[in-house]
Amino acid sequence: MSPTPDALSATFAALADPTRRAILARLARGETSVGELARPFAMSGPAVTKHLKVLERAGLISRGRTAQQRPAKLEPEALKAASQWLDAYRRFWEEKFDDLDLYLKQLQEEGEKK
Amino acid sequence: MTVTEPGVGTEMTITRTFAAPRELVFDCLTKAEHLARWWGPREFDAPVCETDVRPGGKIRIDMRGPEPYGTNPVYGEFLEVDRPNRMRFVLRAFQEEDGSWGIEHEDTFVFEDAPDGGTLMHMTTLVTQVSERMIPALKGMKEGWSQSLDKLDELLPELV
Repeated sequence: MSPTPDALSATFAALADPTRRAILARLARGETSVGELARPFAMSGPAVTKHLKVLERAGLISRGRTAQQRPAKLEPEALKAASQWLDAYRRFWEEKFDDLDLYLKQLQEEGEKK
Repeated sequence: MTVTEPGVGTEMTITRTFAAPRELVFDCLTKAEHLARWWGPREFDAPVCETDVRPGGKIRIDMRGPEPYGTNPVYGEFLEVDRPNRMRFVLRAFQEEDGSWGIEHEDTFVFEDAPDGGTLMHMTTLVTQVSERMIPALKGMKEGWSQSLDKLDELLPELV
């Protein structure tokens, strides 16, 4: 499944919330029901369902269609796309900080000469 | 990177040591006169670089490059300013036609004295928005950035 134009944006927006990240962390251990997910968060079922909808729209999870509980399941592909993007982004910053390193050396050399 | 660990792909952390005091590293990341000097690849300049270094203060940088890059306006805001310990800002760039941002990220910087002198910096980025369009843009920028070392070398004689 290749992401549609703003799939990546939806993924990152969904990941920006700490509760949703915690839900994903729980789902990484296996699929589970809404009731089970709500327990550690001291949160109502409907509140968890809201978060699950955001995660589902972002393609990060899927929900069972048949069982009444509609258990939630992690979908690793969307997470992988986000992860790959961040990897490229990290290299970008690492190089930027190489430049800062050089600039700092230059600034201090200037300072010593004054 | 594994995809089974959901912490991956949500935040990015970089730890670096710089051979300079904390105050100077902090200033290089916040003050416009410093930012304009290192925050850009070869052939790029920053005709606009303004920072109001206080919580709620605005950040405005225009990165101007040769064609086909053109000028990319960057908008931001300081969220926390605690020189020389901690700083947090949000940056937005590459605005789409519908008004949404091609990229929006919140960066937290924590500065400590490094055990062997210098400054230990921890940067954590939380990306809140990024469009698919940014993937090739990032690749292009990466090539550009790798050239900026040469640019600095050329600057050196002017400054001394």
